[in-house]
Formats: sequence, C-alpha cells, structure tokens
Amino acid sequence: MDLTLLLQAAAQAPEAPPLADRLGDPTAWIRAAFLVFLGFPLVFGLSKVVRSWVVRNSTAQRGMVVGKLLFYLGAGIIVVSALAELGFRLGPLLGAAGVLGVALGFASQTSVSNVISGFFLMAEQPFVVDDIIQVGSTTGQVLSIDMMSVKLRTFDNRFVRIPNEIIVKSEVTTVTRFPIRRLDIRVGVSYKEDIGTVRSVLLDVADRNPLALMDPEPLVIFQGYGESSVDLEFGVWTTRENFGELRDTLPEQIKRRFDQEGIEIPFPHRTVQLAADTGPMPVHVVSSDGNPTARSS
Amino acid sequence: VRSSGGSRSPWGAHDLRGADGLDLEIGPLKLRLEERAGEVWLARSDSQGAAPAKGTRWATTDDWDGRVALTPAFPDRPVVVEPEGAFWLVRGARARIYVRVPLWVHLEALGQERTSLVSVPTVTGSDTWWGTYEEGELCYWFATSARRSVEDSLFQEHLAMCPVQLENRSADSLPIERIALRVGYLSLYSQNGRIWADETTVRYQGEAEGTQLDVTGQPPPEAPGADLLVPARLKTTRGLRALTFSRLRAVQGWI
Repeated sequence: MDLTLLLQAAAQAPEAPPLADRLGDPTAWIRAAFLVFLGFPLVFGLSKVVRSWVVRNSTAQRGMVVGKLLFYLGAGIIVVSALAELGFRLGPLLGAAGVLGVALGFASQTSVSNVISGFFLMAEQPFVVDDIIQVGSTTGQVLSIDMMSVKLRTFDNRFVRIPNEIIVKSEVTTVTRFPIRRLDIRVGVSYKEDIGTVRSVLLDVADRNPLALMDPEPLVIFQGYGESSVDLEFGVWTTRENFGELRDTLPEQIKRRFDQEGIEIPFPHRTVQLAADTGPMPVHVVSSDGNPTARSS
Repeated sequence: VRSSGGSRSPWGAHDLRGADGLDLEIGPLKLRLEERAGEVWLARSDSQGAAPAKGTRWATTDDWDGRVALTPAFPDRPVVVEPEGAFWLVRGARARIYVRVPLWVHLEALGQERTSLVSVPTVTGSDTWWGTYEEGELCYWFATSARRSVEDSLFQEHLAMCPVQLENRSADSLPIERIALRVGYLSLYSQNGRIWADETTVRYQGEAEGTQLDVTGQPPPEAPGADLLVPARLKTTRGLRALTFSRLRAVQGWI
C-alpha cells in the first residue's frame, strides 16, 4: 500500500473528542470512577487469592512476589484505562513521563537504587520471608521483601526497616539458611587438668544432651595455651530450631559436670615476683574481726 | 511385654471402666492408664523403677465406650543404625542384616470410631542428621546394632526385627558404616509374639546412580504366615531412591 494512502486513512480516522470536552462530560467521569472503584478491589482481591495459592503450592517468598507483581500490573492498567476514559492520550503522557522521569531520576536516585536493589534481592534470593537474617548489628525475622526495603521483626519485637540498597551493599548473614548449625563454646580448663579426660567429659555431655546431634559428631579442638587456662573449642551440632535452647542448656551442663568431675575452670592468675634489688613487700596480717594483729616486712 | 495383671500382651483393646487403672510395661516404658470422669488419663515413665512422671489427659466424646487400644508403630522418622562392626561390601556382593528398631505405642480411644490420642516411644532415640550440611533429614539414632544373623534372644516385645538385604551393584566396594532405615515404608507383622517388619532390599548402584529401595510388602521368609499388625504409614513408589549409606564426613574448618 502506498504511504500517502496510509497517511490519508489516518487523517480520516474519527478522532476522540478533545480533552476539555471529555473532562466536562459527566459520563466519562462516571466510567473512570467505575473503573477505579470496581477495578482496584478486584485486582486487590485477585492478587490476594493468587498469592495464597502460590504460598500453598510453593513458598511464601514466591507468593509475595507474584502477588505484588499482579497487583502493580493490574493497578497500572486501571489507572491508564481511567485516564483514557477522561481523554488523556497515552502517547503524549508517556513522552511527558519520559522527560519527567529523567528529572525525577536525578532527584530520587536513592529510591531508584532501592527499587533496583529490590529486584536483585528477589532474583538472587539470599534470604526469603520468615528467614532470620543479620545485617550489621541487627538480627531479626524477615517479614517482607518489598520494592524499597526489607522489613524485619527483631527478637525483642521491634520493627526494623532496612533499605534494599543497604542490604545489597552489606554483608548479610542468613542464620536459617541451612537445616543444621554448630554451636561453638570456648572452654578454658586449668593447666593441671588432663586434656584427654576433659575431652571425654565434654563429649559425654554432648552425648547426654537430647538436642545435640549424634552425626555430625561433636568435636573438641585444642585452641591454645592461654594466660590462665588451656583453651579448647567445643563444637556441637543441632537443628536450627533447637540452636537457641542448646546454647542455653549446654554451658550449664558443662559447668555442672566439671564441678562433679573436679575439673577446674580457672580464674585469671597473676604471679608477682620481686626483683632482687627491691625491698621486702609489706604484709598486713588481719584477724577475722578485721583488726590488724601484726605487721611484717 | 508385661502388664500388671500378668503376662497379657499390652497390644490390643483394654477396658478402663470399672478397673483400678491399668499398668503396662513395654520394654523400658511404663504406662499407667485410667478412666476418670469420662476422661482418659495417661502417665508414663521410661526409666526403670521410677514413678510415672509425665501425665496427659484427654476429654473424650460421648461415643467413647471406655476402652482404649494400644497398637505398635514405627518411629515417625527414619532410623540410623550401625552394624556390629563396620564391614565392606565388595563389588557384586550381597549381605543380609537384621536391625532391631524400638517401637512406639499408639494409643486410641475406642467407640463407634477410633480416636487417635497419642504415640509414645518405648525407647527415646537421639537425634541425628542424615544428608549433607545443606540438606538432609532428621533421623533417630539408636544404640542397637545391625546383626548378620538372628537369634531367639534378640527378640523383645518392644522391638521390631527388620531384615535388610544389601546389594552392591556398583563397580567399587561399599563401606557399610551406618545405615538409614526408612521405617515409614515398613509394615509390622506378628508371629508367635515376635514382631517383624517386611524385608527391605537396598541396591547400591554407585555414587552417581544412588540407591534403590524395594519393600516386599509381605512377611519376611524368616516369619512365614505372620499376621499383619499395622500397615505401612507411607506408600512405596516403584523405583524409590533414597540416601541409605552415605553419611557426613569429618568437619570443616574452625575459625
């Protein structure tokens, strides 16, 4: 077909009434309102149903992502349709949005960075909803991973919002990523103790603790000769659900067992020696009632 | 299995109404069952000579006729055991081992319908992990060892004898150090007061090919004509594959 014919056909196409006329047309407003008031609850409800279905059949994380994508997509379609009913033309609007977007982009770099970081987080999935993560000094359970931020609930029940950009740039520890964890406890014993005996006692403590896993086996590793003690590292594996309870019970059981076995957990020791050319150290001998009884030098 | 009334088996139905409670010993587990004001009371202790320490009670429906039923059941997780001594299964070899698994007691209230109340272990197993550090499953560990032969003295009333046929179809010798027994796929059978499980055949086909499990669904040849006590909790699928031999190796690093 000739190009001029196409242009003529486009020129003869019926044009929509001007924007001013449509804005003054009450039926256009009614149609737009109808779209908004019916469309938004519909999209909201639909996204919730789909989210629930995905959560049931997959994971909470995927359900949240699918639900939000569906809601934002539906909301966009409703807004564009409502504007079209009022006579707004999408082409010029998009052009204006492009120019406006550049201006807004400069003004809202942080927000845009958060949104893009949010997409990376959802794609990479270093953690999912309900995981426990540690970001900097904050540890908590992930409530949601949103476009701008990740929301956490700390163990003392505070709500923490961390911008996605910070999470992407920071070292994040997902505490609940793997099903089993190792609890490491540093144990110092007196130099007079036999390390083999101490090792046997520690392994027996782990064996008697119902929260400790038989396999992977608990370990006792020599760490070094400390200032006042021989230092050992005692590592016990448990399921991630039992980690907190094991951390609470195991040190108490070690202490009790050491007391039973007569194994000393020493305090820091200092041996003070006087040089040959210093004078004698003064010594005060005090009776049980606190009165000085004698002085020696 | 002993009850306070004599040598009567604890398995089956017991009438609690009009009786002064019911005391049962199933291996190291001691149970006391009572009916009080239409409720089922249960106290249990798993240490010899100790008074029942843990008590639980259930308010029942009007349908309850005063009887309860005790049935044996396998633990609710796979069981990991060691052979008497670790051995190698050379290429193409077969070995038959017998694993004694401590049973659980499943308690139900009887009436027009059976109402499940609780399952309690006769022996409390330790937790152990089977798999890798990234994924796997939580299992029970029991001090019982897998044996190469069966003797009369091995049978106890709270233990189920599980015959396992091992086959090494890989190109390499296979070390048998620990075995995970997936008891959820096994049924329980009774013969002359002895409790058996159906035979499991474990075919190791190599590290990449994995292990294939087959459960016969019938009493083992050692117990011909045994009666079915409890059917398997899980249905076996054809070509069931599961990690049976591998285990976690030495650990890792210390910081």
